Amino acid sequence: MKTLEIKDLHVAVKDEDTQKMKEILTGVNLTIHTGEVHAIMGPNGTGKSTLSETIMGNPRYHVTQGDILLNGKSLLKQAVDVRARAGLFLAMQYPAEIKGITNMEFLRAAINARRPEGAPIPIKDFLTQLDSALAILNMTSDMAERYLNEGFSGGERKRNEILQLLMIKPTFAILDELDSGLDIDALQVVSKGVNHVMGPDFGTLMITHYKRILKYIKPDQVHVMMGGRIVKTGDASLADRLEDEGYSGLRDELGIHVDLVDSEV
Amino acid sequence: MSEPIMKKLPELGLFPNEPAWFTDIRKTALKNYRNTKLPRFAKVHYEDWQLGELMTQVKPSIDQEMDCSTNDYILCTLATALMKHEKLVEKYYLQKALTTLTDRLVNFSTAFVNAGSFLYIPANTKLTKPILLPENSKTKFEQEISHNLIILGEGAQATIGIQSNGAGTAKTGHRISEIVLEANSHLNLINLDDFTAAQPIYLNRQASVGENAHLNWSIGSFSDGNVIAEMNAELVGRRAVATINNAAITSGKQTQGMNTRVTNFAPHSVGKIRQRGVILDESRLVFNGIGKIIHGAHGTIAEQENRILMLSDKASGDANPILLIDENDVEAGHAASVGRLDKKQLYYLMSRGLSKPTAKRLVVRGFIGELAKEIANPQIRQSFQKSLERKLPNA
Repeated sequence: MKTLEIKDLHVAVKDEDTQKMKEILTGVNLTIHTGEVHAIMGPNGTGKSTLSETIMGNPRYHVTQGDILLNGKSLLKQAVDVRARAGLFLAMQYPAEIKGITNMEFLRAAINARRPEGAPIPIKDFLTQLDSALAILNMTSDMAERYLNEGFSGGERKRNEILQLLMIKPTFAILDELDSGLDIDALQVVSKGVNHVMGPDFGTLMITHYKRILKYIKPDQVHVMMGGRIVKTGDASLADRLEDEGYSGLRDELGIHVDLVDSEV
Repeated sequence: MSEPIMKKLPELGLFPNEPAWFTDIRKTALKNYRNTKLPRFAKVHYEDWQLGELMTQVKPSIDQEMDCSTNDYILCTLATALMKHEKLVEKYYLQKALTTLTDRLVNFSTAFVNAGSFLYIPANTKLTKPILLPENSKTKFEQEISHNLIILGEGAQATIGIQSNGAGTAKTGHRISEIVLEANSHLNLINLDDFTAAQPIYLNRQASVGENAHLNWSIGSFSDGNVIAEMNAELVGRRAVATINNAAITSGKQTQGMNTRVTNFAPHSVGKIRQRGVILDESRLVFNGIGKIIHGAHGTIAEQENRILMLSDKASGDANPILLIDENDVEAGHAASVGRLDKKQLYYLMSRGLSKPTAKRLVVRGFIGELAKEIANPQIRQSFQKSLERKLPNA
């Protein structure tokens, strides 16, 4: 069993207008083991994406206190590519578009980055894996020939993120709002992809606004984030309760003083 | 032990049994050479590269042996062509593509031309296999001053790949190429420049595109030394089409300056320039893209895009689009940019485990490799990509 631990994590970001550092995460504690599915829910602007980007190692986010540990080893000093090779994966909300590089080239490079130098994956093995991954996601093989995310629709991008997940087979995957912008059919397909990699050697952290996706990917634990930290943890029924009462209900119950960015329900 | 370099031309020219008309052109050019100026390459300083200067004694050319003609086309050295196909050479040499000798370098190259190749594809010959021109030999000349002719007769079709990696043993190289597309012909031309670091090179490539003819021209400017290059396509026939795709990488301390020009002379002609450059180390790259539409060339299209990616703080580059339009009924557009690596792209690639050098390489290859994908012939495309890889920094 492997473990991803977030300990008292404080994170600040430089405001692009004022150039001042602004604290977004104010002490997050979270432990995920392989074999588990965690979901983080919370209102807009509460730091959910900051948490996922910080775990992955986006240089825009500055850890001011606390630690992120993978199997007991701190990741804070590791660059994003080292963290990725150590087993982390982030399905991004807004993946970059890169013209001139095909999906296929990119996937091969990503797989080869995890193999010893001078021993790239045999092309036949690669294609076999690719074909089965494409089939799981109802994707056609021309997707592999297209330039990386270039001109992809919202749904195609999400599928492409999960295609990478299937090919790279990380230990821990963070899925940042995988459900946003997907219709029901696409949501089911993408969930099928995620469920396919589930198992005792894989742990997931899902970031979401709605419980919709939790119908297809069943969480073991649901965490609610507000004001830059986790304020409540429960089982899947917590998501149902949120759907009924909204975040403001929980905020008032817990007596937390935070503004919800969007208008209150 | 240096003896003074003889700048005088021998009375009978430099090629064996050189025709008098050819020698006369030399003499005119030599006269012009003495009172013309170096050509202008905006924002490129090459005055001290010693271009347009003789580095070795003028002596008769020994470049007369090669003849690789087939049943379908003529391919031989210029010297051979002057002996075996004099009328054809006379019809095209400085007659259609390059017609005026205006600057010092073109006059120098014409006066002292000592090498070159001649490729003639007769009318209606449709070649299915590409012609891969042998690079000019490294040892044959001391100083290559060459003039190359490629002619496609009416309705001819061909793919031609030319790889260059040396221009003699002297300090400089001069190479003029004339490319003539007669009506309804179709040419895919790929120039792969891999000149070594030791020699400043002057390239002057002039294409004339006739009625309804198509020129797809890809250039890989991957040399290691200083280069100035004129790449020019003139759309002289109605509905002529020319696309120039130029991919350039500069590294070390080299400078590459390129004037890439398409001129629409005829109505309904279409000219496109796409240039992509990557600048490394302390090098300099300048793209001057020139789109010109002559009065009366109505219904024409002139487009250009010049993009440069700068990968080093010590590098410098310019992308200058110039549109000169003397006609109202046209479609013209240009885009130019000089930028740095996109941090979001790098982060994305690295988040999948690619090391920074590998990620950088992929982004750069993607940026410039888009042009490689335009090369239809797989063999030539592969050579192109190989040259590109060689020129990129090692991971």
